[in-house]
Parts: sequence; structure tokens; C-alpha cells
Amino acid sequence: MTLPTAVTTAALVSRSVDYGEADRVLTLLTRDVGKVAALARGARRSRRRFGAALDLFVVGRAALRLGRDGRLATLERFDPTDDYGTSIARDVIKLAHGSYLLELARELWPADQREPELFALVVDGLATLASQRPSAGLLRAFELQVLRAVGLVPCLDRCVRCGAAAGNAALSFSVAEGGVVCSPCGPTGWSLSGAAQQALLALRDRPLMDAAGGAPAGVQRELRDLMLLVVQHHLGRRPRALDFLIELTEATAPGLPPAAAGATTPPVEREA
Amino acid sequence: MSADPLNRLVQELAKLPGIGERTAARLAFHILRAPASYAQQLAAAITELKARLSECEVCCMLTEGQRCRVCREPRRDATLVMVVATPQDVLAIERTASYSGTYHVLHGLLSPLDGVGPDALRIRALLARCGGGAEASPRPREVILATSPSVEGDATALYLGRLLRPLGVRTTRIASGVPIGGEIEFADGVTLHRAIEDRRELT
Repeated sequence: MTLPTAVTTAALVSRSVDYGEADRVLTLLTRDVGKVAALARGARRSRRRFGAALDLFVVGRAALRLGRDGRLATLERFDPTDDYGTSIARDVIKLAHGSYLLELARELWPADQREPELFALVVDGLATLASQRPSAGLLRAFELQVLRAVGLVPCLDRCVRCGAAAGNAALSFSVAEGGVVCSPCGPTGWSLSGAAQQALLALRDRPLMDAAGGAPAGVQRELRDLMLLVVQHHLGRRPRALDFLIELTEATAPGLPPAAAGATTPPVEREA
Repeated sequence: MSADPLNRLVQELAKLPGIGERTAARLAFHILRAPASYAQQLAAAITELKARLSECEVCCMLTEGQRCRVCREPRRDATLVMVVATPQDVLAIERTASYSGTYHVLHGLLSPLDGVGPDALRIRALLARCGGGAEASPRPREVILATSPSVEGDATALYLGRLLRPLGVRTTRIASGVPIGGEIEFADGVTLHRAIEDRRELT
């Protein structure tokens, strides 16, 4: 990808690391120049150049001076256009969900590639999360659609071995082969119910705003466990934000009542 | 142990936050060129830091004894507790000389992206203190949540607020918005939005 030295693009911060006395190194997801590591000079000072804009879940216009030969870019300006952080920070479960969305997109984002579709998907995911209760449906739909945007979506309607159309019967799923395996070719790997396969197909194509709810609790668990396997397979590790979410929703450590994690969210919808 | 002491020092320095390989190499060469006594003093200071400093039994601030200077001070209001993220935040607030209560140091903020969950912070100690379960200090009448007004700071404050409310402790949040001396014209949209949302009545 050949890029001009200076560029202004829609962007959002997906990681922020303190650097030196008052600077920050940011990982920006951008619409026009892909994933960029950029130095924001003076970003930690109280009268900082970037105001409150350089926070997680804030979308804005970033003016960047791009680095050459793998050097850091420099962030010259960042003007916020949409602040989803204020809403997301009001609920620690939303924070966990939003962090998972960012982590997934950031880690699966191909190096040195412009990905406007993926950028739009992340913004859409954050907007949905800011306006709705967090839900397992949103996470599953986001996982599938991010995987589709980067060309890694599992094959759900045809057997990955023989190509036969997958019916509504019991199937199996091969993470390594990237999709469902029909009964004559299987069984292999992970058992997948017909209801789960149909739910995955629906979530893959459904707008994120409409992804909440739908599947019964048992199917939601099946989808969660399967998609975690798929995501881990592609990331090569377990997502950090997911462990945080599980700690909040499932750990009942003494002195830390689970109600603190998000009192208004029903248990099923709170599942990772 | 590495056969190359210079390379070993560079590797160790590069583990420090905000220090990359090149800065680590610059620091290592500075230490190499300095007198041997400087290197010995630096090494001794680091060793002493780890050997002598521990967390205050009341507020989790770093201290040499069982209790920190603030918790030992009888004139401080021990029923007023300010919750902060780091020991550096305590030092910043102490510099203002405008706060006479005590502190509670969380040693971080909730951060899903960095894998920092509630168990990694000093939340249990705060709850024990506020629930009357800590023998070392009186039960607070007010807890001031003084985490930074960032996504992670706000989420941590709200999370603590939900935990503290059932304990019957008055819980407040530090104000945020347009800085003193700042111009509204030049404030960014997020800050202005927050300032308007958190407006207060003139009394």
C-alpha cells in the first residue's frame, strides 16, 4: 500500500500506551490507511493538545504524518465526531463487550491494509453497543462479520470436505478446516446442532443493530463455545477482554458480588 | 545469566514502561560511562526499593512501615476516603494541600484490553474498610472516587459505586469538565458534553 506522507482520515483508538513523560503511543484503526501505530505528543498533559478525544471508543478525524520504513506515525490532530465511550463507560459489562469488539478487530486486522468495511463494522458495533444493552447476539454477529471482512468466515452452509449443501440435521464443525462437515464426511471436531448452524447463518448476515436475542439460552452457549474456539484459532491466543468479561459475569469471588458487574443486564444476555 | 552484560542490561531496561530498545541502549551506555560508584548506588537504590517498600495496611499506598504517612497522621479525617488509581495520584493530590482526608490506592484501573479485572485491583481491601471489616481504620462516612475521567476511569468508578452503595457509604465522584483558565471556545466536544451533563446548581 503506497500512501501519502500526510493524511486525514476517520479513526478510532484501539490501544493506548503511555510513553515518556507525557506522550502516548496509540494503535489507531482508520478508514483510509488501515491500522496505524502513532505517537501522540503531549497527550497526557492536563492541557493536552487532543482534549478528551484520545480515549477508547471515540471516533474522530485524525490528521496523521505517516512514518516510513516501519517508523511510528505522528498524530497531529484528532477531532472527535462520535463519542461512544461516555455511554459504554457507564456499564462495566458494556466496557468489557466494547473492549472485546476492539480487541477482535485490532488483532484480526491484516497488516498494512486499508479495510474500510472492517472500520465501518467496528464503528457500527460500538454504536450498537452504546445504544443497546450488551448482548451475546451482538458479540456473535460481530465475530462472524469481522471474520467475513478479513476473509476468514467459517463455511456454514456447505460441507468443507465434499461441498454438499448442509441441511438442518446434526452436523459437526472443524475449526482447522474452517466450517461445517456433513454426516457422511464426519463426524469430526465439534458437534453442531441444526439450531446453532441456522442461528450462525442468520447472525452472519443480520445488521448488528438487530442481532440481540433470538436464540434460546442453550443454543447461545453452543454458539459462544464454538465461536470462542474459532476466534482463538485465528488469534493464536485467548482474547484478554473475554477473560475480563467472564471474570465479571461468572466469578463470584467473596466480597465482589456479581450484581456489581451490571445490575440491569439479564443473565443470559450477559453471557460472553 | 547472559555472557554479554551490556546486552543483558539493555534487555532489562527495555522492560520498563515507555522504554524501547534504543532508549534502553542509550541508558545502558550512560551507566557504562558513569563512575562505578553511580552504578552501585543505582543498583542499591533499586534493591532497597523492593526490600523496604510495601503496601500500607489501611490504604494500600506504598510505605516503609505498616502504615503510610497519611494514615499515621492523627489530624487527617480517616472517615473521608479518596479512591485513586496509583500512588502518583496521591502525590499529585497531596501537592495541592487542599485535602485533609485519607486515601485508598487501587493500583490500576479496570482495563479489559490489558486483562486487568477486579481481582487485580485493591477492591477487596476497600470493601473491607467501608464495610467495617478492617480493624485498622474507622468506617468511612464518604468515599470520593477520584479516578481519571477516561473510559476506564469512569467505568472503574461506576463499578466501585455499585459495590459501595449497598454498604451505606456516601459515594461521590470528582468533578470534570472545562479546566480552570480554559476557554469554552477551544474545549473539545467530549469535554464540553461532560461539563454540561455534570453541571451543578449555583448556591
